[in-house]
Amino acid sequence: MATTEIQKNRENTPERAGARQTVTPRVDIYENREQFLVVADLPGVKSDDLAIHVENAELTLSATRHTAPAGAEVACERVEADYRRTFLLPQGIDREKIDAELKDGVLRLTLPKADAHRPRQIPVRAG
Amino acid sequence: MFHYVPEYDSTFSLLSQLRRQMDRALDDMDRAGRWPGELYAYPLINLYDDGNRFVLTADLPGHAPGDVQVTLNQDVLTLVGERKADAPEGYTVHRAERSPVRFSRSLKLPSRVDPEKVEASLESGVLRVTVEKAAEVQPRKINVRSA
Repeated sequence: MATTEIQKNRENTPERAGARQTVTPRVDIYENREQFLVVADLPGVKSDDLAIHVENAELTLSATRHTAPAGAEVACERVEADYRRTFLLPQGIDREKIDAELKDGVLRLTLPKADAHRPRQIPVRAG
Repeated sequence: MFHYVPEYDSTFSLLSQLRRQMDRALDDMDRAGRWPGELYAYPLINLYDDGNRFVLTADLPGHAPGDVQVTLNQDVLTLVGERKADAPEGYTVHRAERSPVRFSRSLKLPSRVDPEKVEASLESGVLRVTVEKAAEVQPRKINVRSA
């Protein structure tokens, strides 16, 4: 291939500057009377690199993975990527009491329901 | 010279062709929105060559160190492990993408290694195995003399 041709190819397919892939982490979502529980797989993420934002009715998890390659790549199945996923919050979540715990690369996010939204049993009086 | 092809032969070839096409279509459906290798392999592995040693990293979120076994047999490294279901009691399930898994994966390292110098650690859901290369395949620096 002539040099000019290589040059042309390079100009036509430039590298993307600083582009990192974004991956959707896998989650489980549970609910009981008191709260919602979101469990997400975030391997390689430390608590400092994880951000949880609540804005309007949206909750966003975003995490950066900092892993320097340990030498020359022989096989690479997992490219370095960031995690990001957004959830629509149901009504009646007590936002002040949202709690997050990260352990062994698994995030457990508890979203307590506000008192007014918990199911309640109404006692029936005998008349 | 003369071959008689019975009618039923072509019937079956049509059927198997249809089956192949269906398989392919279903495979493609399964693959949508996932890592390319994820459907076929767990855990996903990266292997690096650091000159003197190999470094393997594998994503194993939620695995306790006791539930992962790493074995080295000659130059074949095997990872065996299990993640049990961790669904909490008394909850309704809205979404379940993190399935319990039991896995075994073996890979042949690209050169001979020193079985005495292997280390494995599990930190924030990432397994890291370091295997030193055998003495005879360690990179060697050759001095260039001036003639």
